[in-house]
Amino acid sequence: MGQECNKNDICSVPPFNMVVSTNYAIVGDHTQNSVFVQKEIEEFTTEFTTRKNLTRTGCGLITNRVHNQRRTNLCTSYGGTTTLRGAAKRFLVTHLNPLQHISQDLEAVQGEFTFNKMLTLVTGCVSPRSLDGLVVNSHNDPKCLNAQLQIRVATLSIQYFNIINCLRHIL
Amino acid sequence: MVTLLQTLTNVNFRLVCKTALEDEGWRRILPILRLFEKYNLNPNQIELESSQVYHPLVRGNSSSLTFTDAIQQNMVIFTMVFCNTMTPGGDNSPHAVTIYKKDQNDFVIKNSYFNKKEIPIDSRVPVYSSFMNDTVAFRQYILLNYPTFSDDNCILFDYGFALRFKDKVP
Repeated sequence: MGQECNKNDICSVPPFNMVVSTNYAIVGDHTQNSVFVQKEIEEFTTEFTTRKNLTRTGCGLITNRVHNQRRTNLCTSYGGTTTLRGAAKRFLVTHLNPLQHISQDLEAVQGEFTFNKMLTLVTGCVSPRSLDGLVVNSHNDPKCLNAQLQIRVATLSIQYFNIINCLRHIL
Repeated sequence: MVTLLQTLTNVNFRLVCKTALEDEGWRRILPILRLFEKYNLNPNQIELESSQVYHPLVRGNSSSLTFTDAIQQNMVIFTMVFCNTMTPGGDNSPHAVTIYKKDQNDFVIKNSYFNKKEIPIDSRVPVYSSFMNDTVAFRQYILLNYPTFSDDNCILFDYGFALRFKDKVP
């Protein structure tokens, strides 16, 4: 009888409701882990979307599929790869190749010319970026993810050579 | 901002230029070479050129292209955007993106997030240097001319890079 009473009491309590007046921008990284969990849930659920293509299709010189960088800081690699693919498509079209065939080749998810294959080479060989925070043992670690923004000394040295090489070419 | 600009410039130069040890970066992306070969083009006869292109509100060199010019020539533009510009102390971290189209007054950007696949930015909205020069005046101007503009809306960086493959001149 007592247990039934308690159950009724509990059921009569209105559902838990909390008015949140803060937003992500003003919450410190180290104070609210729940915010990260919520962010992760939001980002994770976007993976299940079926709408992965652009809604405003362009002049046809860019592939329609959007590639999600998730929580990485690799936006320059993603943007650079997209730009390079756009340039390749433009060049092929100017040589009178059919746009439809080129688009099919570049849009294929399992093809020879996929975005992911090119992105792997850009991040791994062309302009190396730290992959800390992307592998299993450090997945989603904010400290490791920040390391992706740091340009490695080796990269800087190679860029220095690049500039010298360009200057030599000009002079 | 400086870090991302350096990273963006780095990607651009590394794709286009040779290093002391290696070929141009784009030649190391084998799927691109194979794509050209599939369409009977010889990659050795092709080169990649990068041009710095400017936002129409920014005065570049007289010979330099604007974003609009580049888009009209079917080029896509590699640049950066900034959000949270309306709240003092907001996080204005840059984000690298690709502009692929002009739709009336808007530059349309292909983003790398599923939850915001495209970002339209009005070409008349002042650019990042205006924001940095005088944030108060920038916000006043925006509120006056674009009343619905919020922290979620982005502004563009002053310039970007347009990549173009071309036939090598012998």
